[in-house]
Amino acid sequence: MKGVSSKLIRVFSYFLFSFLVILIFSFCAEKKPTEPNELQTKTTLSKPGGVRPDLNLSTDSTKTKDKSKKKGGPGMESLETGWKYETEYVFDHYSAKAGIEFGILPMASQQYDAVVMEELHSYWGFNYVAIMIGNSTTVSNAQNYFGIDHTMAVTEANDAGRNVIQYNTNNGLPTTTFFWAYYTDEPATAQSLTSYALDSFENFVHSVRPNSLFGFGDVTRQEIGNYITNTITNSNGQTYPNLYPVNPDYVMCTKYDGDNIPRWDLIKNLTTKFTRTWINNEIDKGEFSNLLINLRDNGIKPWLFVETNNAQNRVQYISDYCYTAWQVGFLDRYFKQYLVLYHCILNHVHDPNSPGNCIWEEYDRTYQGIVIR
Amino acid sequence: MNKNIFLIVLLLSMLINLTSKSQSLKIGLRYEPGILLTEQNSSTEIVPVLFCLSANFIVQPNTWLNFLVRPGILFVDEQYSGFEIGAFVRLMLFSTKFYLITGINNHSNREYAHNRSGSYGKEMLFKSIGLGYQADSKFGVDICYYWTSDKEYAYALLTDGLTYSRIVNRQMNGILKLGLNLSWDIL
Repeated sequence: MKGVSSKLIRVFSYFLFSFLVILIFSFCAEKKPTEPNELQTKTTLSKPGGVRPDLNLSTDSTKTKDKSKKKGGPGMESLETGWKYETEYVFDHYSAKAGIEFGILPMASQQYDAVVMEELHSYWGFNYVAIMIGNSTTVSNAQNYFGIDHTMAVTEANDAGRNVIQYNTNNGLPTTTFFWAYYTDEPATAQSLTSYALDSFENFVHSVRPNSLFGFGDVTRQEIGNYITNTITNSNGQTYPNLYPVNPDYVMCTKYDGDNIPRWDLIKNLTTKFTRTWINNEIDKGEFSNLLINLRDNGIKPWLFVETNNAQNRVQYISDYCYTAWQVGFLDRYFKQYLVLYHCILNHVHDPNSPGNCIWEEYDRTYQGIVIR
Repeated sequence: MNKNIFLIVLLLSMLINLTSKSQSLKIGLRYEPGILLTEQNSSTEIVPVLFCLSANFIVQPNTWLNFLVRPGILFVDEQYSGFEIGAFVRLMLFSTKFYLITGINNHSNREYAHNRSGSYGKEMLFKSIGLGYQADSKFGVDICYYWTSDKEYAYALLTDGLTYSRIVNRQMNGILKLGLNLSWDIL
């Protein structure tokens, strides 16, 4: 009996020893793969893609994975032992394509906010801005983030407007500095200007700022046509000569109600000066795509008008608008590219024939630069 | 809450239509000119209503009580226009041809904007009370006052173009309308 039990103990000890040897060998075989040369100077970043303050990019959720494994990375052997690389992309910002004018008129409160103005340019991709120019804060924000040579100065066509155009009154700029363009909004609908008054204003702007553009916007073809053609049509349909036709560098359409494209067609047929127009961030939200495609196809530059009364959805609409503008071709979309190393955490018997059958945990992340996608 | 009341009245009128042995069912037209009493930036304005047309479906269970459902359309200007539907109760006063009319009317305001002003696309539920005169079995006339607690329907952007801009809402303080009704028995 005693001999039998000592034999059993010997057999058990033999199996235990064999098991330990196998365990030690398999532990040594599971080693970290050799990293490619370019990863030796890797930069490990904190987890990117955090929500930006105030402006949250919801449509472009932006962490995307390239499922194809990186060539030159760990091969099948290392995969089988639990390591793999993936290329991942995290949205960084939009930027206007080369040669594209992509403008915005921010809300008054946004014009005074340096953080928002910086984000409109550096994050959302607007490269032109329209602002009120009688204040040093709005002007310095535009100057810092867009440049005066990319700023449309909005003024009323009155004495205060003339003063600030000619002398940069109260806005902190030297008298000699001029904006890229000067614009007056709705001279007929909101300012009740005669053609003579607008013509005088246009002549004034062109005389004191000869290197700047001058433009105006109004609701329909009739209001615009009454200023720029030789005929004025009143509300009863009667016509009479326009003795003071205005000669702007551009005109814009300021009305939004779901019928923008037919209205734009009428203005386009009226004048070749219809080279820019407004899109309303709220009223036009359901048809950004149609509108931007129409403008792209007609060579008209889109300007987003944000001065509306729905603060809750303002950010969402800017996000939707820029996403659509990227789809249509006005913007490029930049992503941060990362090479991410994953470690397989096995919670089952490893099957060499199914090396991807793992729970993968991020082990390391290497920033590789900004790419357009 | 207001919408629920509106739906209840509509359902009630339909229920009565189905369950009561009505003496008559009428269909008709209603033209309703009037005035809007509006206010913006502490300044009041009276705006004429020239185009307000609706159909009238009238259930008359007895001689002194009518239930009315009115789908229609109203066009005032670009800030206040849209489809409407109302449900009303009409009570004949004693044995005269005068009647008291009360109910609710829902206005679906059309959204519109340009750079300096615009209107809100929204549902506005009005309460209404009025007095009328039924001249004969076909023609009647009434005057009704409508009011709502959800008053804001349009806005304007006030700006000096240089240093500031702000949005000021336009409010609907009330609507006074003269209703001209023509109706015919169909049952």
